[in-house]
Amino acid sequence: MAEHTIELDEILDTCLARIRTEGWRVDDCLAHYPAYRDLLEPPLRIAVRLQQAQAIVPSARFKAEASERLRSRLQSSRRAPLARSTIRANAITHPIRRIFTPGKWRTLPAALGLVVLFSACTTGVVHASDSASPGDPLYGVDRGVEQVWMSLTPNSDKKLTLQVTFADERLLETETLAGRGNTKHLDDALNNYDQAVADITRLAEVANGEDREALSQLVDQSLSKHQARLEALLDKVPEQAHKGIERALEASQNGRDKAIEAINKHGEDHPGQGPPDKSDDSGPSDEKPGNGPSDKEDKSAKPTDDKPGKDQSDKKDKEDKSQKLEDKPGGGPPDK
Amino acid sequence: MAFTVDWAFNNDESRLLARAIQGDGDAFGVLYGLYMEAIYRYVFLRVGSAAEAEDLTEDVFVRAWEALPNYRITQHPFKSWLYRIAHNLIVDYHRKRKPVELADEDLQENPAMPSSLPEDIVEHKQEAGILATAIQTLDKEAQMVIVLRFVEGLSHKEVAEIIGKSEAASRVIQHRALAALNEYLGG
Repeated sequence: MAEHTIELDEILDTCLARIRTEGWRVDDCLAHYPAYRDLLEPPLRIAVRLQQAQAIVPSARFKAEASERLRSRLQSSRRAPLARSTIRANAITHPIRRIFTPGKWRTLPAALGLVVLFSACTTGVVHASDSASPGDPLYGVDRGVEQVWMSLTPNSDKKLTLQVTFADERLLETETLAGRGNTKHLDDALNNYDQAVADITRLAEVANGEDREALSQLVDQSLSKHQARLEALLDKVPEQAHKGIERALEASQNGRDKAIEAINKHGEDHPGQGPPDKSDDSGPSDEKPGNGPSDKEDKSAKPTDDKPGKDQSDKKDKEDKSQKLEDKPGGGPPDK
Repeated sequence: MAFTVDWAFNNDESRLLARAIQGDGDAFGVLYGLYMEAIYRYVFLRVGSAAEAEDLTEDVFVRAWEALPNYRITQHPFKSWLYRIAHNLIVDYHRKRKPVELADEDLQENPAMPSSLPEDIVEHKQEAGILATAIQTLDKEAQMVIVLRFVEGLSHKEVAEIIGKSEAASRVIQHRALAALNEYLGG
C-alpha cells in the first residue's frame, strides 16, 4: 500500500510539474502513464483544480489597509514594538565588545568615538529618533549613529558587510514610508537606498576579500532579495512613485553586478590570503543633503585591524547570538 | 583565516526575523507583506469566508508577533511556523463557531482569482467558494495536507514537519483526501 501510494504520488507530482512548466494537459499525462491511467486520473484532475486556488488573493481593500491595521494591532498587543534606535543600540554591542576585549585595545580615537556614541545613547537623543525614517527631524541622529558605527568597524570586509545591513535599513525605511502612504518622503528614502547600494559597490572595490565566496554570496543574496522587495513595492505605491522605485531597482541590479565583479576581481589579483586592509576603506560616502547630521566620516576614529584574537571574539558573538535565538522553544505542535 | 560574515546574517529573511525578534515592528511588517497572501489563502480555504479569513490572517500575525521571542530560527522555517499558528487559530475558530453552508450571498464576498473579464471573476469567485466548501468536508489534518501540498506547493517533507507526522503519513493522508474530494466534487 505504502509503496504503491509513493509511486502514484510521484507520478502525480511529475504530471503537475509538467502541466505547470511545460504546458502539458491532463490527457497528456494520462497518455504518458497508460498503466496508471485509471488510478491517476481522479486525483490528477482534483489536484489540477485545487491548484487554481493558488490565484486566490485578499481584496484590494484589505491589502491597502493591512499594513496600517497590523501596525495598530501590534502597538496594542502584549508586546509593543520597540523604537528602532533601541534595537540598534542592542545590536551595536557586538563591535563594542570586540574592541574592548582584553588585548584588542584600539587607538584612543576609537575609544573617544565610543564615548561620543554612548553619550548620544544615554542622553536619549538617539532613543528619541523613534521613527528613524526620512522626514523625521531626528532621522539625521539615527544616520549619525550609523556613521560612528561604520568608523568603528575594523576592516574593509566588515565595513562591506555592515554596509549591506545599512542598505537593508534604507529599504526598510522605504517600505515603512510606502506602508504609511507617505509619498512625500518616499523619494528621499529611495535616493538614500541608491546611495547605500553605491557605497556597497565602492566598499567592494577595496574589500580584502579574505572569503570572497561569503562576501559575494552576501551581496548577491541580499541585493537580489532587495530587488524582489522593490518589485513588490510597485503594487503598493501610487503611480508617481514608480519611477523612483524602478530607478532603485536598476541601481540595485547594477550595484550587485559591479560589487560581485569587484570582489571576485580583487580575489584574482590576490589569490590565497587577502592583502592587508587598505587605509582608504572608509564607510559610506556623503549622504544626500538633509539626511545625516555630519556627512563626513571621522577617519581618525577608525580602529586598526582586529585580527589577533578575532576567532575567539567571533565565537563568543556567535554563541551569544545563538543563545539568544534559541532561548525558548517555538510554538507547540498543531492541534490534532 | 577565513572571513566570517558575523553580526549580519547571510539571509534576508533571517535578518528581518532577528530584528523582529528584537522588537522591530517595521521588520515584522516586511515579513507580513511577504507571507500575508499565502496565509490568507490557507485560512480562506479552511473557513470559507473572506471576511473571517481577513480577521484570522491578521490574528495569525499578531499571535506570531507576540510569540516571536520564543521562536527559534534554526528549528522551523518561519513560514511553516506561521502555518502552525494559523492551523491552531482555525481549530479554535471552528470550535467556537459551527460550520456554515456557503449561501449565494457569501459568494459575493469570496476573494476573486485575478482575471480581466467580469464573467470570469464571478466564475472564479464561485470556484473559490466551491473549493473552500469541499476542503472543509475533510478532517482537519487532511485540510492542512491538501492546501499546503496543492495550493501552497509545499513538499511532503515540509508538510510532514508542519503536521508533526512522517512523510509517509503525509502521502497517505493526501491519497485519501484526494479520493474524498473526488467523490464530493463529483469528479
